[in-house]
Amino acid sequence: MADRQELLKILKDGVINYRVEEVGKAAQQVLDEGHDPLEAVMDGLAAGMEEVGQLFEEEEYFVPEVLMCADALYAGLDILRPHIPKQDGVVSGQLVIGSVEGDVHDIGKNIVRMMFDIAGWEVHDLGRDVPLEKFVDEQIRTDANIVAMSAMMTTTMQGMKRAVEMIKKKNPDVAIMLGGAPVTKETADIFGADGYAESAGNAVSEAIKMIARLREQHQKKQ
Amino acid sequence: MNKKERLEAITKGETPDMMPVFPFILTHGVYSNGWTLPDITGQGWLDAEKSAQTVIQTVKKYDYDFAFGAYIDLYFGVESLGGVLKIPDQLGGVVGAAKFPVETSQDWPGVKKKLATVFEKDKRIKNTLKAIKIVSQEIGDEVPIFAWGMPAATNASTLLRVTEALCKDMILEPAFVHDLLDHANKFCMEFIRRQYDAGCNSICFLGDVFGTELISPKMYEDFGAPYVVEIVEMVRKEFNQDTWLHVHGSFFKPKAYGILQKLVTETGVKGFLLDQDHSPAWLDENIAQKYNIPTGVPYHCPYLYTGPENRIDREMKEFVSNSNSKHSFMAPSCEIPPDVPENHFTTWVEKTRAYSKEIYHGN
Repeated sequence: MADRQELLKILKDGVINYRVEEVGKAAQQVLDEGHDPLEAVMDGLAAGMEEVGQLFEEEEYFVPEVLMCADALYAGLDILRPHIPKQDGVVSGQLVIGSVEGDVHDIGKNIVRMMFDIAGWEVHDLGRDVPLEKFVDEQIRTDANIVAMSAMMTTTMQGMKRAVEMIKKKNPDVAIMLGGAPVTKETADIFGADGYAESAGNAVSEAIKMIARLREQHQKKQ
Repeated sequence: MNKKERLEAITKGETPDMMPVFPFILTHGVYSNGWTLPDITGQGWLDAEKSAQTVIQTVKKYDYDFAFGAYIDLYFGVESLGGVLKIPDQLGGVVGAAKFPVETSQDWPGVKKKLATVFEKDKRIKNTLKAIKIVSQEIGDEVPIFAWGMPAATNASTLLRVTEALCKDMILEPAFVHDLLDHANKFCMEFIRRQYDAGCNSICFLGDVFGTELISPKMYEDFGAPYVVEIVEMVRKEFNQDTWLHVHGSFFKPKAYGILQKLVTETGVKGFLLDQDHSPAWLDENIAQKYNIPTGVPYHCPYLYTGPENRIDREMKEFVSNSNSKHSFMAPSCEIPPDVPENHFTTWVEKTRAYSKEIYHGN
């Protein structure tokens, strides 16, 4: 029977080395032995993913490796997450995310989604090639704090501008974050977005900043 | 100089009269003619005349230097192999795939059999080749018409299996991936052959998204470079033409840069277009001067869309000043968004020419 620290190490290493089955088993063992699932997510899975992110930045890992690590992460997260109680004082929220209409790429979007999952957000993933109206409808349905849109092609990027306009028209208080290979901060600003994710790694911190800015603006109005 | 002479100049390493422009026109040509994609193509059909006009009319309108032979999208062959196309009517640069032919490895044997007759059966491919004939007859005397291809992994991701699955397969099932890539590369080479037969009269231009943006240099040595070699050798042997490579990813670090070195010295690639992260000065020092080959100066496409004009103007002066006068051609970082405003496009081409004339020759 592995102790708590050993299990955290198995989870962390399992994510880094994309050992899907091992991570799943270790996650179940965390629950069976009464250990803290939140700690297992943060100090096991997320710690592993943090190192994966570092390996990606250093160009040791590339997209195939990150995708495999993501599979390992979810093997554990899907088991542990239902057992994590909501945390007081932890900034989180609801996120609608998808790749814009016409764009069938979702690798980057899936990695960003994973970051929010780890952080404990409730994520409504619309998938790829999402009709623009669906972003609007889903935000209204879920009352999500943030809508995150991804585009991998310069040619689909334009859809973001229209989607931002449509969402803001219905609900000006929603924060909109844009990301993807051809998107720059400048483009995001021109399109009227509230935030820009330069990478999956900074997407969550950027999202938290966006919410803080919106809250500040809202308080000023009042 | 005429357009063909400009191409020859940058190939030989002689300063042309002005920097040639290759805008990599794909769907932009469709929208520029007042059409949307559903006007030109759909599941099982493609309008050859309209496809040809996307090139002919934009060459006339913008007077750029190098062209493809037709409207080129990325999912030729998919529906003939059992996949389903998606044709965006408003947004999206190119046709996509709503369903790929190879969703699981069990689908592959049946798809492999269909590949044997895809060029005889696929109407979109056939009519694209007809479009190339029209273009070459209309403007082929004046304009270098490039053949277009995508090396194995990129081709496989638009013909056979979704990119994400291919990426994972490279780790989990490399033998399966090599089988897919072998066939995808044969498809690519056959498509290139037929484009030359239809009237392409110049270099072969390959677009590769499986550079370091997606896979490691080590993986590229396995899943990328060997297939590029096949194409380069075929194009040289059968058509006596050079092959240029547009590849995505960062090539600054030693391992990645080593890939570029090998592509030139061992694979025989004779020209590059990298992405916008590579500055004109870096490209001059590390590609143009080092290998004496045509080197694209990539202008980031979103700026063509957002402008404003004076920014494009200013940046063209900067780009031309910092690039190699003997080997450079101006290009977008990747496909131009369909609704780039006409005045931005025109400014981009005109200022490239004006500044290069001034900087190269003091005119």
